[in-house]
Amino acid sequence: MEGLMNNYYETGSIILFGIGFAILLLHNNLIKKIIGMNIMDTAVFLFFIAKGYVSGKDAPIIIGAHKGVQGYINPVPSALMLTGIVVAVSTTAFALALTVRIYEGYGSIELDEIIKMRSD
Amino acid sequence: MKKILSIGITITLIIILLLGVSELPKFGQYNNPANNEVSHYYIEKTTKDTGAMNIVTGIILDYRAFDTFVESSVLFTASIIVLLLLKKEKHIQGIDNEVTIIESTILKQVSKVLIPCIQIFGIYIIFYGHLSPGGGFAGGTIIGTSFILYRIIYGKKFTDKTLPYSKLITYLCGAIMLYGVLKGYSFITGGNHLNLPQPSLGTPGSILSGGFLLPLNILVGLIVAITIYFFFTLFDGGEI
Amino acid sequence: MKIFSMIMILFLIISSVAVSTIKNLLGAIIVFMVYSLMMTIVWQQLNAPDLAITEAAVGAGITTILFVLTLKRIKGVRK
Repeated sequence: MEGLMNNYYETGSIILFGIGFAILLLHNNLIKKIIGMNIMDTAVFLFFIAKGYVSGKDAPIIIGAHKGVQGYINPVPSALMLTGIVVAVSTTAFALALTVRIYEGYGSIELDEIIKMRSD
Repeated sequence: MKKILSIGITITLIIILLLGVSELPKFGQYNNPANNEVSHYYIEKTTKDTGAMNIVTGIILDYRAFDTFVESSVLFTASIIVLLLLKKEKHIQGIDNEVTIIESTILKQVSKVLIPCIQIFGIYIIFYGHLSPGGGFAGGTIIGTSFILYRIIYGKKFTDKTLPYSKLITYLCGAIMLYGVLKGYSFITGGNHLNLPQPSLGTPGSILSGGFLLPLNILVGLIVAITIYFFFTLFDGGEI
Repeated sequence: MKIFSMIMILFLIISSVAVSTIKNLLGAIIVFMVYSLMMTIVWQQLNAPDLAITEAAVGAGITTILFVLTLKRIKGVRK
């Protein structure tokens, strides 16, 4: 329990991942499933960025004189997750375009109605 | 039955992951295993090697520039896919396409002042990407939003004269190919220590510094802005 | 600052549960936009300004517009 309360960012990110996963499994509506996928994405970003934080140090931008190695936080996780945010919005746009085409083909966006229509 | 099973799977997953989190090192210590000599090298040597004051921009556009190239190609692929899925034929007489139409004098007069201010802010964030937080992605999104606002207020016919489809596709494909050519030239000549002409590093702190950083930021911003504009026009009526 | 971060993470968890239980689709999308904005403040607390600007522009701007336009195309607001 002590470890979980000290690393509260990582604990919160795991709980958010679990809630997004549950939204993906529970609901029949396609729009709610896409929202759940987005919540899972941002939870993973939060976990990764929390690993690169050093308490008491500055953001990785050099203003004026260089403070040396001991003055800044770890810049590598922030640079890696910047690409991830853009990939997440691309995946969301692709999933929403597929939803629009499914509606034009079947007439509804509830998943069990579509499966029933296909098995007839 | 299905609901109970899915909630059970989720709670099992959370408990297994929380068992792993409870053994992680303490949050925010200086001598964590994640802060190893790789991050020390990046913090010390970025200004000398690349000329950028923003360490994150120096990493994603110089040390790991092919990462950014592949991510721009992911954006390009997404916009091509949405084009394939949602683009409709030419306007057929008698069929009502669902395009948003707004006729309002207040919006037209206010947008004449507002849209240039938004674009200047976006251009500032792109150009100062290596000196302050920001970079190509955020600035490109802001410029793309100003194009969306222009299209909502003035309608489809008027915007097609200013932002035609064929020109935008040419700029998009040309930008991503030029990014590959520029960064490939820089890697090949720099890695083999051939003394071919390269843009100079300049003094750190001014805009025209950093070698290839400024052109690459502008190219990434252009790709993002055109992709965002294509997403809007295809979802809102299917015609460009 | 530690209390502030804990309250922000608690708000994130509460709003993601609220996305699941709201039946009106337009309301769920607006709560998702609020979730993105609170994530921006958490990025600032972790000293990552590039991520904060990008998440504010992309998450709370572009994703919400795409969701609302999809709702207009599928002609449904209630579940």
